[in-house]
Amino acid sequence: MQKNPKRVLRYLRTHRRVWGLTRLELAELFGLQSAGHISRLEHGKRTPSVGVAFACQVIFGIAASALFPDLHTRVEEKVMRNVYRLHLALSNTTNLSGLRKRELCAQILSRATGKRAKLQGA
Amino acid sequence: MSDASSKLVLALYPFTRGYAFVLFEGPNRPFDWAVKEIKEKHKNIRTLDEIKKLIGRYHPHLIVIEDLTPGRSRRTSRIRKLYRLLARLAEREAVEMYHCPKHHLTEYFGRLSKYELAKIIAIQLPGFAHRIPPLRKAWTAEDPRQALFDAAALGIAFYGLEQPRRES
Repeated sequence: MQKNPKRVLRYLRTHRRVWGLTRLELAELFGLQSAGHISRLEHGKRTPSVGVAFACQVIFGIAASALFPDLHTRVEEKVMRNVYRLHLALSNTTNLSGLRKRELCAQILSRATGKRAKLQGA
Repeated sequence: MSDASSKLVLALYPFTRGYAFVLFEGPNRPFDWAVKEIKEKHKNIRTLDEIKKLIGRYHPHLIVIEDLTPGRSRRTSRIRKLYRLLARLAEREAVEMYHCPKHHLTEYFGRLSKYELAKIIAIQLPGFAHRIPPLRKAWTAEDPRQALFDAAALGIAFYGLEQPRRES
């Protein structure tokens, strides 16, 4: 029987090693003091700060969402749940501001469903 | 890049001083790799422990090792025993195992020396290029880094020959 995989896939370590960088060297590039911080980021024990996420993008030329897909998925799921809740709350609204917010929610939801359909198609 | 549901393939190559592994998430897409030297008396026990941790961390879909059919392989009795233990471990952990015969490697890469094989793999996987060991002299022992390329060769041969056969 196949076990349910609960692994954390992060590509920071992969890209660091592709370019032959040590943890300490990468920490220095990020402007951090210790290599332990990089280790924790690589193993999913720490959430990267916005500064680190941008630094990764600058160094490797890859979007933070691609380097930390687990984190991106987690944030996306949480935000989508909240957007859906807001969309439901605004279902009976008639004022202009409410309608504008509903339009934004509809756009977010259609983007997400489009992305999912694209992924399933691929 | 793929999501966490992608199927990972773990290619393993034990050698005299330890073992090397390359974890692939697709053909020519290594996710993690390392050469681990084990300097203990009971190397097999420690190697198995480390491989168990690897399986626990990544949950690979399949493990690729070389085929040790008698007469086709010249590995030591310790490594043969390690492969037997590894097969049992894979069964316990419910991970499929593929024994890559040597002729698959020659079919895929051609008849090459280990150094030439490392150079070809470094072209396919540019992230490995800076780890090519120097050309081995007749009087020197094999560089541990070579094991990394041997493990990578097993994974690449699996994706190149075996996976299309399974899919068709």
